[in-house]
Amino acid sequence: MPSAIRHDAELKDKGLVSILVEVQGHGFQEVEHFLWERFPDNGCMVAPGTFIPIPDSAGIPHGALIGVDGTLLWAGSPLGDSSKVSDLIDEQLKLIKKGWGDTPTARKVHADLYGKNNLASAAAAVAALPDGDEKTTLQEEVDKRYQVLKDAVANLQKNGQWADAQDAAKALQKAVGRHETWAGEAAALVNEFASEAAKPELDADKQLAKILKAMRAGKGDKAPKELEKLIEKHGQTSVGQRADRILKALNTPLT
Amino acid sequence: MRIHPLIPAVLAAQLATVPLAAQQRANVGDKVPEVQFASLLNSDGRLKLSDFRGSVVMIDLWGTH
Repeated sequence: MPSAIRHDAELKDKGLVSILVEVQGHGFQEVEHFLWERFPDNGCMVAPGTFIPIPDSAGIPHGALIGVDGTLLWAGSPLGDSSKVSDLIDEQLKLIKKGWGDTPTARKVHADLYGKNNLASAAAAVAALPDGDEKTTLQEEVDKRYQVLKDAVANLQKNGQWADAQDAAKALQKAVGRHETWAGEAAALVNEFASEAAKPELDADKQLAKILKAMRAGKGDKAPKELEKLIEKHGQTSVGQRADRILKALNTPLT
Repeated sequence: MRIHPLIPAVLAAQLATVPLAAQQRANVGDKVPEVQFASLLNSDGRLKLSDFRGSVVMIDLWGTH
């Protein structure tokens, strides 16, 4: 696990997503408690108790690598295959930059969508294609990418991560450029964060960020009291509810 | 060539004896079936495995003991 956390910190910005799945039956709060106690600087995503459809194994650690197009590239023990896995990751990260696919347009669209985060350019490339299977497939992929990034903003807001949601909305707005449909929707999303309703959420998130920063640095002794104060003041916000979940996790040791 | 009318039923019956989870597991070289995460710590807002298309996804199964 420490190596997964290190790998993630090194390569996250280049396109690596690390998902840690706890498989010994502990609940979400127990797992979060464990992570704050043992690995407070963990930046990997964590999904306790989720079935992952990869080849079964006799024990842990066990892992899998999924490529940019959703293909399973490797499954096994990371302890024995670390060099092979590193090479596969490097190959895939290069694909994010230069794109992949059977045609020049497919490679361009993939590079625009995932390497350059330029949905407007991808959409223009697809629009220029003649009607046919390639156009239909790539159009669906461009539309799906837009929807995923848009939904991510709403999911982050719902989860009380308002600063992250605001950053995601701004990134989406930049990515869609002047696209005739998406530009207006993205602008509306960004403007939401300047509304009166957003202010208490963003204020609370600033306070929570300070508390979490101290916890990540291993200086979280005062965190429970500070979380209580935040919850008292901002309990009605989604950030307050997130703070409440974190406080409950801190108070839920492994059984 | 004609297929015996009972063959599809026999194959379906055999498939039904394989545990559901085994049917859904991908092997190396396969596309990985969809996974919907109920919640993700440190999420970036994406909650389905297919949402991560275009990223390299490392899955690490681990235990707390």
